[in-house]
Amino acid sequence: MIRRAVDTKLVSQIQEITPKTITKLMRVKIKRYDPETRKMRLVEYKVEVSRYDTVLDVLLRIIRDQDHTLSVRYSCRMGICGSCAMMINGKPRLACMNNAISLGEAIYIEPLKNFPPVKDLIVDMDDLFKKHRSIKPWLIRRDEEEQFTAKKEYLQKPEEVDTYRIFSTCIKCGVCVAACPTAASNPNFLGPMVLAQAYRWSADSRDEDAKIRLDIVDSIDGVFGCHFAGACSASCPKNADPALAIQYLRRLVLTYKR
Amino acid sequence: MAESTLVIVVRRVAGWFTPIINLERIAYILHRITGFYLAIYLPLHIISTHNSLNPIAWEKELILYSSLPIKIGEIFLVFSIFFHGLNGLRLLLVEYFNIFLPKKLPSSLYLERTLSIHNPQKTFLYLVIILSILLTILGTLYLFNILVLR
Amino acid sequence: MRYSSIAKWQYWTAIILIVVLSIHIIFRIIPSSYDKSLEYEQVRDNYSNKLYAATLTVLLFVALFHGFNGLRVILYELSPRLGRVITPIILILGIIFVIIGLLTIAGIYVFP
Repeated sequence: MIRRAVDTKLVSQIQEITPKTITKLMRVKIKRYDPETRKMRLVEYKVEVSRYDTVLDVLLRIIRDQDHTLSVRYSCRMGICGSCAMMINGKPRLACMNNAISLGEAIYIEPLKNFPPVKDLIVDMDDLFKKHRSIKPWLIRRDEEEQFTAKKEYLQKPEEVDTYRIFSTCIKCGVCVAACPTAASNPNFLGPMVLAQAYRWSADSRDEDAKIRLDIVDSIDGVFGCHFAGACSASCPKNADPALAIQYLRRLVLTYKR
Repeated sequence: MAESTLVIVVRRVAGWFTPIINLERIAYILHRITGFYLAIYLPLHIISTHNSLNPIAWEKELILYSSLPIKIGEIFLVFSIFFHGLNGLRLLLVEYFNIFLPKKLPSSLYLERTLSIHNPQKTFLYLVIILSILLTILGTLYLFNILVLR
Repeated sequence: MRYSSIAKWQYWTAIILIVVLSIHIIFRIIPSSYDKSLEYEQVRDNYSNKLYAATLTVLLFVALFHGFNGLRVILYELSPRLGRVITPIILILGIIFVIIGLLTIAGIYVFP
């Protein structure tokens, strides 16, 4: 039996897994909104970025080492809370889910489009959440008394869950609204996120009165404002496919027997 | 100071083009542009064809039709009719009848890629674009009397 | 009125439009060449065909409804204030052009 001094195969495997310590000096240009002057200003920073840093890591490094006045919304840093949505190199994305070095020589960051800015990279999401509440994103049961004093869970088959499961993975980040051309031109448009959630709740077999929700979305500002540009599904970071939900919702609105 | 309606409208139309561009969005923008063009063309066409009842007025119309700007407008009209019609058919089938969309959704929690903007809907979109361009070329040849059917 | 009723009309007029517009285009390209199809006698001959005249009447109503409704929706989206003003204007314009179109089909010339 021949015993090798060093297992070269294992060493090369470990070298592949271990992050390299090479860093790159990157230019980060941030368009910051100043609430006092009510204007945008472009500020450039130079940051040492390592191989596995995300854009959020870069922003937090800027705040820690260079400019503590920079305001950014973030929370989970793993793509599930939806707080860090912003425009990165012209596209709406989650900062925590995008590798910084792979973006090229420079990173250009702006506040999320189609939302009014509050400060720096933070935008006002109140209108979006108000529209979301308006479509009643909860189970509507005929017997409300029973719903609040239920003795057992509402049963649902796996096939019934399949009809809305992917749409329930929406993290309400607002990236789809930033990408949507109708949301850009009509401020009253409910938006892809809200319409997809309207379908998610209407398609749920435990929901008993979808009519209320369908009447709310039945307008030019609702489901008929969408003309299937598909940009929402193209940019969704969770692949929750809002465009698909909206087309299903449209058929439901057009064919539902009232 | 409140912005004028024109500035607001121009900014909103600019919003159709950014931030990302995918094929369905291009179809969306073209559908609107061609629809707008057809909606402006239709009343003009009704007025123009009314002049076909008067031989003298009709001769004047024919002189107008043979001018170059009108010919260029007619080429775009041919494209508008075919693109708007075929894309409209695609939207009708996808939006009203949910054809080309999956009947049964997968059981997995997260999709590897979105279902709505990929096949089979995407294939039909390619077909719409290719057919529109082909029919426009045929129509242009007909407009310039190069393609004669009999 | 909920928009879904108008939306259904928009979809159905789209289907009818594809059919009648195809008939209209085929009738235009049958004579042989583009220039020949525009001659005064050829155009008058087309209108004398009763079935074609009926198709043109359907085309008139359907095209005006589909076109002007689409225009109204886009203008409303671009500016809701403009959109609210535009609805009665579009309705009146639609009626005027329907009348001009019907007079053309009937063969009554009204322009000075």
